[in-house]
Parts: sequence; structure tokens; C-alpha cells
Amino acid sequence: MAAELGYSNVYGFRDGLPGWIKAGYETVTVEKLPKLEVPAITAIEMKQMIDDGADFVMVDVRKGINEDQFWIAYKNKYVTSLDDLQTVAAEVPTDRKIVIVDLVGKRSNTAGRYLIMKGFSDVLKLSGGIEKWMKDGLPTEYAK
Amino acid sequence: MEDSMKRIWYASLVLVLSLFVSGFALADTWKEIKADELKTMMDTEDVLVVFPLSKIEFNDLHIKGSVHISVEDLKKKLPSDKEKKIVFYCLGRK
Repeated sequence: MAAELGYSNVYGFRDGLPGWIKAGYETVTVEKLPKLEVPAITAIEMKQMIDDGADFVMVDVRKGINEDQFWIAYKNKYVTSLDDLQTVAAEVPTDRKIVIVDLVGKRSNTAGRYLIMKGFSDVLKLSGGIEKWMKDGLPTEYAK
Repeated sequence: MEDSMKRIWYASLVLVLSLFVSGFALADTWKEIKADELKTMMDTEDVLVVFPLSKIEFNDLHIKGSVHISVEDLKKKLPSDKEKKIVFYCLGRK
């Protein structure tokens, strides 16, 4: 990729937003997400919900990353990217229970904050993401 | 290593590379800069400061003067000038 694109003046500000804020420099907010920690459920608990026939919508936010390599089979599932979450927000009634699945359980909190901002009242995230689900040996579908 | 573990390891590697390093991979070499250096650069030079994660995260909070270009759009949205000074940043060290 480097040779293909060939940019010669690339810098990385690895301290990122926390470093910028700590230094006291100016930031901009366009649409503020609520400051909160989305409640988490464990992989075992979500498996139990599926086995019990609990009525919830699974939102897998790994689209464009690795959602087509391995996934959790579930009848009522949206596969989306964080940038396409508005589609979920527009199509799913806000009173439905949502469980968000990502790879390792980090970006699902952002997705949850977004859906809560959009009016969803019952939002959970899968603790540890699908990685923890797989480590726990729970049923996973793989691409052939 | 079990097959599922190999898949997880590979997927994690792909994620890290795509979300946090791909911007840096646009060049053979890249330099790390600190906040003060970036501020000076933005105040005094023609620099493009890019946030490559999601628009949701960008809208929540971003560096004033930076732009959002998602990882998958980098190839088509970065300037054609290969000597353009470009700085990538994200949500910080994890």
C-alpha cells in the first residue's frame, strides 16, 4: 500500500484525542453521544438468552472488518458498521431489546451510546465481543 | 493453536492494521508527533489532519480543523499531492 500510494509526509499523532484534550487544545462536537457505560452481558448470558428464545435484536457492528469470516447465527440480526447504525435506528422500534456485538467489546460501547441517544431504552453490549464468545467455545459459524 | 484461535488472532491483526495503522501504512515511513507539535503544524503549515474511525465518533468529538475520512475511503479521498503533509489520529493509546 505504501508503494502504491506513496505519500511522503505522513505523521501519526498516537496520543490522539486524549492527548489533545490534555494539552488544552480546541475540539469540536457536532452530535454529542451521551456519556455512559452501556450495560454488558457475558457470552454465556447471551447464549442463555438465545436458548431461552428471548426476544432481542442482535446488532453486529463488524461490517467491513471481519463479519464475513465468523459470526453468531441468530434469526434476528443486523450486520452493520458504526457509520451505518442510523439504518438500525430507523428500522428497529426503540422499545426492542438490543444486544451489540463487536470483535473485542470496545467499539460496542460507542454503538450503544449512539442507539441510546436515538431513543433506545434497552441496550446491552456483549462483553469481550465475539472474540470472548469464541474463546468460551460457544457455537460460531465460519466462512468456508 | 486451535483453528478458532487462529481465526481470532488473524481477525484481531486485521482490525488493528485496518483501524489504527492503515493511515500510517500509506507511507514507507511516518513520524510520531506530540500535541504541541501538531498544534504548531496546524497553525503554521498546510496540513491535512485526518480522523479515520467512524463518523459517529468524529461527530462526538474531534480536533478542531481535522477531517473525517474513513479507512475504506482513504484511497479515493486523500489528496492527489503525494507530498501533502498528512497527520492521522484516533482515540489514543489503548
